[in-house]
Amino acid sequence: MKPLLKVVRKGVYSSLQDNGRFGYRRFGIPTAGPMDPLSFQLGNKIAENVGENAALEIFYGGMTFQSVATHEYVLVGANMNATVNGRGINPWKTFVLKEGDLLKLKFSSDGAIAYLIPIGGFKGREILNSQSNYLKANIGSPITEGMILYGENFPLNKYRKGLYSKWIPSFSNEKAVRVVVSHHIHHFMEQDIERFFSSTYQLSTGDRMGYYLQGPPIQTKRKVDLLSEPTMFGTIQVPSNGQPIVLMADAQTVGGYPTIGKIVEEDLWKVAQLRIGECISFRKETFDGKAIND
Amino acid sequence: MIPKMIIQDRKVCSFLFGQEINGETFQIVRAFDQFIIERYKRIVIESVPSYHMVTVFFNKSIVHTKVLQEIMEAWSTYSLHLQLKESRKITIPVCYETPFSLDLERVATENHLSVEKVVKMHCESLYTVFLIGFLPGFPYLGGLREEIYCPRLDVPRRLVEKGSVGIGGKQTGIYPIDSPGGWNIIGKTPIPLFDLNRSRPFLLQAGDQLSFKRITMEQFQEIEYQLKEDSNAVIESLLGS
Repeated sequence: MKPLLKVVRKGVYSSLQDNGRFGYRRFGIPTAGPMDPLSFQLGNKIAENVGENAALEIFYGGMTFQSVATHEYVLVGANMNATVNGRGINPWKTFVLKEGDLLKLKFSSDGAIAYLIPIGGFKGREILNSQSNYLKANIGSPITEGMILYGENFPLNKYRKGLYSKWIPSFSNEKAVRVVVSHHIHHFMEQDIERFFSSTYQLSTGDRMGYYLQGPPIQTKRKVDLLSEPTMFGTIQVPSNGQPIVLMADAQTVGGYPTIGKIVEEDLWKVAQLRIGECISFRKETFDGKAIND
Repeated sequence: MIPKMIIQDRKVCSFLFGQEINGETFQIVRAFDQFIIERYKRIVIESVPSYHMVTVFFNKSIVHTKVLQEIMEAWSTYSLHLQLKESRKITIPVCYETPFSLDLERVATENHLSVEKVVKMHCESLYTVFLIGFLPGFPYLGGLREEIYCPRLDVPRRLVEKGSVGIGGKQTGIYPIDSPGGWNIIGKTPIPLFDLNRSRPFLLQAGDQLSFKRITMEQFQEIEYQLKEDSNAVIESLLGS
């Protein structure tokens, strides 16, 4: 273990995340892991990290770090307009911090979440086979000012590495995501379902547990009393006010609200990167045109 | 029994065995969960049993493949020669005294019973852990006597201490961690359901049979002391292993 960075300003919210914690859903522990798995994976590819690696997941920016050892990093995901000692750096491309350097993340201008990934990953305490923070159950430590983040000793690469610009995901406004329709669908008013799939919904607030959307309400035909059943990252719950909640990476493992569907795994990053006030729309996923779930 | 298959995503499928809380349905759920874990380790990340449904997370796409069909064929044979693992029987000590029994009066008044009778009824039943969720290690218990059902509080408490035993409508449960909550709190157990520092972080699993044993404040403190000395030993003795 090698001390890498000191947190000088902790910003809005950040946490250490690896691929996630698997095998504990039956005990009520969510998978956690990255909210934007696409950026997380691309970042680890750029860093040439193999196996289980932890990144610092950063919401909205506003963070400052001081480097305590020379090391190479990559910053991916939302554009945080980052600087090193006041000079701008390119995201999606590795860069070197020398001892004493100041890395500043301003506020995100495109997307909501960034990943700071050292070569070799950060090293946090492994709990239940994962380094992902899940603070609700006291798994992992909250990121605080003055805290030291650790990594592994890796030599610097001879050349900096980056991603072809055409492969860099865009987080711009107005996104469409694919939804697998839920088996609760018959509980909802037909015209409301139709409206759900033809309108846009705006993100009003959210965190790692859930994103609260606002738009045309979706009402059930009558009051429904459902048995609690497993929920997951991407499940869209509809409480009695008719406004959908998309369950995110830290969502509770079971829920009792009716659900309208689940956002497909491949599109979760698009939802995660919504900024408050941005809009999203939904398309029915039929898996290559073949009808499923009746 | 052949379940209804509900595809949730390319790699997630739920198997639905009924529509209500029912001991028989739940036995099938347990058996199917056991079947998936035993037979499909190679392609399954994890499986989550609940009241009437088992949700399986696969490590590859199951859409437009023969995987589900094969599982159904194997299940129809397996379920014929089923040997269900016996449920663990666990007795949880609970102190129903003040200051723990915040809403015991309310439950008694609501049901026109004495406090004494409520405690007795809560202790006399055998409960089944149907599902773990909501909070890490939180058990959804079935088997509460109808005479002591009690509607949730109108305004949930901001903080319910871990170990609190509550009644929420037709259900009873134990809070594994400090949490906001709207259930009527009738007592508290010194036994943590969830503790990362133990060799078994989770005390309970779906399928367990649970009963409550009434203890005094002195006994509560005695168990707390034993836990401090050696929490693993206390847990092992509770599990009878």
